Amino acid sequence: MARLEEYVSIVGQPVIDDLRLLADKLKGKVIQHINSTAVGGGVAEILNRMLPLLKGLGVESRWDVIKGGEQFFEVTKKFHNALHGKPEIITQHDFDIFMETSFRNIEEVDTCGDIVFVHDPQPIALIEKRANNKWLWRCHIDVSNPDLKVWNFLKQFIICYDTAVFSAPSFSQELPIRQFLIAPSIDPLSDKNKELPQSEIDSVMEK
Amino acid sequence: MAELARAKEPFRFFTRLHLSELTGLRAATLGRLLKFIKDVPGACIYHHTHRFLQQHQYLSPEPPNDFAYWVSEVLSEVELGERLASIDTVQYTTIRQLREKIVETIGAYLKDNKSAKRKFARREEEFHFIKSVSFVIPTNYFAYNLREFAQVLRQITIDSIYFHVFEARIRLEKANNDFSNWIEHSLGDKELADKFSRLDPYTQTLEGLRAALIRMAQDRIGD
Repeated sequence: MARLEEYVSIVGQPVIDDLRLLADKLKGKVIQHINSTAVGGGVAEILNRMLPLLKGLGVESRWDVIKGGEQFFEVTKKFHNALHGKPEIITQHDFDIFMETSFRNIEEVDTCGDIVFVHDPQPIALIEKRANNKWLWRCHIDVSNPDLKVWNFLKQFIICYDTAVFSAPSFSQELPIRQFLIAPSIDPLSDKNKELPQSEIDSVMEK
Repeated sequence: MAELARAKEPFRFFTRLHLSELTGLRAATLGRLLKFIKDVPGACIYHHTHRFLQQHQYLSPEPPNDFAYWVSEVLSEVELGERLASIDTVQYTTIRQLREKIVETIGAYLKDNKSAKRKFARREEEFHFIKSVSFVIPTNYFAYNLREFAQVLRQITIDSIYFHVFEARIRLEKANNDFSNWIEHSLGDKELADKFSRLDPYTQTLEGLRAALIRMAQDRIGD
């Protein structure tokens, strides 16, 4: 895993220094991320790289993953497609399955972070556990043209968060909570993104 | 090495991090754009007229403000786009003045070009109003004289330079940038302060601006 110092050649030392100043402001706070999978998918890819960097900055953080069975993930897949505007038949039974698993996770997941980032719709109902901590819902998907049945179902949870984070301005919706824009990011030092030596590129091209 | 004037007060460098806050307000026509420009918080006007400076760090001159870009590229009102792009931001010392100029420019154009009111942007090309939220943090860098000042300028982020030059002047309404203020009032060098003030920061990249500031400080101390 890349260390913070390895990014100096990419962003420069001053940027790392600024990050340390920002990290000082978070001393004593625990940042918690919650999503639906530890491997595979964009969120897991981001968190796998981000948490060690936060640790390197001295920011205490933890990552929890909700549990769900096959039926639950079939429903959330349908939600995902419907939020992208793809026609899906979603029944009351689907919502019941979603809530049944959500209630189990509400009982089991420890949401002790001072700042809790909940990623995407799957763990969204955890907001029911909200105490005196800060809750942010980070939406990584395009919800610019959502199926309203699904969107309105999720909205009842979204409006209980302190804030929502979207990846593009067009994804924002009219919501009574504050909404922020954080553009998608990639890690330039991950295996997927790092620069390859020309010799390696050539050897692959020759195959 | 020559003895340099020591400042009455050191210059403390701050850095500025920011978040873009989505307002949920969107415009599909010039009329709606104008209405929202009149009503939105100053932080929105600031975002849409200064965003390019930090996002496009390698383009000089900087692209115009977001309003000019959208009007030209989405509504194809090229003449209005040019009028908005030619607004010389450095002439305005407050966001209120800048907003008034933008409103006046669009209003005058709509008065003379009735058909422009009827043009619609497609949903995916609507103008989204975004607000800039700043987080200003003190750094551990101080300068007591010009040599130290030039040295620190080499080490800080462009966000720090951006804060002291752009944000301090127009958003915090200090009328001048922080560097000029310090050089004039703490170092007592009015000539150099005026030189810093005359520099148009909107016509160069932030790295170009950094280099220009360092050069002016070095020339003054003869390094």
